[in-house]
Amino acid sequence: MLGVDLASSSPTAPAAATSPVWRSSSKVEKYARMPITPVTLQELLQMGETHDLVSSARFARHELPKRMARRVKALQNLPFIVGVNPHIKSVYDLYHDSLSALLALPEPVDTKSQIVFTEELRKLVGAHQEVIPKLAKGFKECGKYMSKHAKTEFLDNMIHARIGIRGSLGGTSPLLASVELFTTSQLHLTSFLYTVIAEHHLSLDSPSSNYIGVINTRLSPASLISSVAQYSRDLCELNYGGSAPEFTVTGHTDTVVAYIGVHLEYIFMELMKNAMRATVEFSSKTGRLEHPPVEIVVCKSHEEVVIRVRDQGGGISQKDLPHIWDYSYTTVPKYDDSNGIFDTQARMGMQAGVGGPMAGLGFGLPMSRIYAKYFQGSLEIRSIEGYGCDVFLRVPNILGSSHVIED
Amino acid sequence: MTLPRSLRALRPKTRPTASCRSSCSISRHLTTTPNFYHNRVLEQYAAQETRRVTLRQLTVFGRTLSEDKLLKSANYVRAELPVRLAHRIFDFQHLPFIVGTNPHIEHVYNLYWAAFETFKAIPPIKTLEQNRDFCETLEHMLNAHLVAIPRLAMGIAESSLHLNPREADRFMNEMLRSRIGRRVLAEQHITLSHVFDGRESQDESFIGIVNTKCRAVDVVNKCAAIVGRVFEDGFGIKPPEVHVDGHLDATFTYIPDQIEYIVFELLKNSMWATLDKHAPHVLKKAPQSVAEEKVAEKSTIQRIGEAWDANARLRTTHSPGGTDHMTPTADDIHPSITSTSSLSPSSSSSPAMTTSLSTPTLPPIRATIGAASSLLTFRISDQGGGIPASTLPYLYSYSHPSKRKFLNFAHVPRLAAKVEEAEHHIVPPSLKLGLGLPMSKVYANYWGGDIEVITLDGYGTDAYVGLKVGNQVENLTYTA
Repeated sequence: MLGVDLASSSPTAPAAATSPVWRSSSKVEKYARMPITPVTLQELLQMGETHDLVSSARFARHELPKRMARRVKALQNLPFIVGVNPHIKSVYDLYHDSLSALLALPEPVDTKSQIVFTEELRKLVGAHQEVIPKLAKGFKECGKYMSKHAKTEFLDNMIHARIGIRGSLGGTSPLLASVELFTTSQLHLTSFLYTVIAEHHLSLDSPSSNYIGVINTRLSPASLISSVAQYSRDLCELNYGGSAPEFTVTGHTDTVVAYIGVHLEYIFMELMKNAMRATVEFSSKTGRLEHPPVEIVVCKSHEEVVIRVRDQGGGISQKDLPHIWDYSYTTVPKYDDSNGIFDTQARMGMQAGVGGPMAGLGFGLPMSRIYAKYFQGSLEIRSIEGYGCDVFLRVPNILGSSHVIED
Repeated sequence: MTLPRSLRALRPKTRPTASCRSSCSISRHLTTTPNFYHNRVLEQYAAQETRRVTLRQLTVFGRTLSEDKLLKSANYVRAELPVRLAHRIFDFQHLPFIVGTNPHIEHVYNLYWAAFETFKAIPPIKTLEQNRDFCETLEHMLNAHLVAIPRLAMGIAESSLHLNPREADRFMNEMLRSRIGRRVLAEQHITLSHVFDGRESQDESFIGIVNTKCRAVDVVNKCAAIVGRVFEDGFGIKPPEVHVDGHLDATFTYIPDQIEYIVFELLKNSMWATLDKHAPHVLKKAPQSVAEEKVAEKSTIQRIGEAWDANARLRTTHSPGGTDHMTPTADDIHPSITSTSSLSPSSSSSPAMTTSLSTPTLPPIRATIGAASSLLTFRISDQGGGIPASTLPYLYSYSHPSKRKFLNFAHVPRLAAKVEEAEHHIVPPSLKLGLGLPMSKVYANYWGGDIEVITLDGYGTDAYVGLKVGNQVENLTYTA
């Protein structure tokens, strides 16, 4: 009926990844062609505020298949040899199966069917936790079969779409837990960084007035980046034998924004980790006795908040500069593992930050930029080669933004 | 003690010997716009490619001079200038007709034609004596063309209705870049000739106008001192401090005039912004400050009058001796490109004024130098409140309405775009011309570098100047 065997669609168990299976499906074609209903974050916020869970669930039921079908199509259009890669193949199977599972769900019409739908969705979300690490590994192994441009484009779209899928899930309040769990667990697998935000989200029973859906309406960039920086220092000290740069946070430190906390947290973590690692390594390279501090400035403008992270970690060479947004590009040196398990763990944490299984896969910066750009923000780097870097993160106030979540 | 070249060019000519030839040709062409059918000759030249030099060629060639080499240099410049001028004239000819008829534009067009005719007519240079004449002609031309930037800027500002902004910016950028190139060739050759003749002696780190041991920290300190004096003289206030960090020992090969102009303009912008945000009353108290918003409402004539008055006041109040700043004496000038004493106050500033107004603690401007194998970076960071998003896209524009202040060029009729002009109040400190950033970008681009401004609106601005170090070729074409 759907062109897919729904009986075997257990989303958590990818089909045997030995050989590709012919999965031409008119459903995929049909849904992929359907126009996506644009959603603004404001609409999501409103949905969250009114707690109209049934229509929210109904919207997700209509919207998600179209977005997923597009991802399936994108995977189908990869070069055959790439699709054969076990990691990529398992992602393909997962999306395909998830799509079938979603389509098999009845339309939520009342509270009862809404609960059923929500429960199923929760399972799906859980099954997708491993997607980004799998893509990262897969594309690392397939590097030579695709042009850098094609690879980047595919991954950009894939990750961008995933944010969108999660964003539209965010509107259905009962899903917040799973969505947040999904986001946070994906981003924080190895980390013991459970910030106030994450913890708060997880306890849905005590909702706070600061949250609407996944959005924290009173998020303080200064205090969030301070806690991330402190955590990053701890990691750095573990990794580099008690040595880590200090940091300062100045400027408009009392500013708050409305934003998805985990997005900002992810970006901050990447930036702090890069800054501290670069500082410490440049100190040891140049024989510098004291680490200069990482200087963070928070600036509130009319329609955005700008965060500047300034380090003296030697900057990025002109050779490396064109590649910093490439997936799978990392300047993290390859360590030998002779220093014992504890060091290795700390190093993994340092390299991976909150990325967990993406350790050293070079996804940190490009993914941060996708997160930053998602709501029309930006992430820019200016390097002073031989000295250090300035990183500029622009965060729009999404409550005032008319940004549309597209595919 | 030798004068910087730009000032020598500014000084009235005392020996009009050989230059008579060229001035005659200029006057001939100023009276009649070149004949339409005359254009075929020009087109032949315009069809030729420019032969661009590299920074290394300039230094290697000039390191050991011989008569033979000097004549080679002369003939290269002789052959090259008409080609480059022809390209520019060709570009003028493709402006909309109405723009070409603008008096300022037409004036520069005629100047270029005259120069083209002059250089085209010069036969191959075979003796040192001929080279001396040639150098006189070059100097005369450099001097005569000092009106080009002000005239072009005013012409473009007045033509804003008739020229789309992209085209206006492209035209100006190519004009200015080509202009830098021609002046570099001319000034380099003149300086080499003078050194060879024994009329001028140079520090051994200099080869012509190129300094092979340009110290980045000296550039910053010299410019900071000059901007500081400009503010002290202009407003009687102590400007924010400039802290220099990073690679304080970095040296590089460059034309000091060019990098100094850039660093000077950036520091000046930073100081303006810092004062404007943290001590606006100080700027308001100063009689010379021309509030830009008000400028826009007034007629050009009023504005010119006011600025002229301010200018005159400045000249009289701050130099009791009534020194004419247009012709500074040798004592006023620090050959501080290589000297370390450039921070000492200039004799033209009045120390009494600097303490008369107390300013609140101003956040310092931070200048950072980054040196790497093939790149030298200057970063100028201020906490001057940043740049509003609305003006950000037009920072480098020559044609945006905010560039109406180009009309202020009416009282800066001659401009070489060099730091000395600010140092000696040839450009009054309170006069905003709007040329600093676009001109700085042109200078930076010339040897393949770039300048970038990133702003944290509400907090401050970071400007980055990246200079490519190594064998850089002149960059004469503008790409948006």
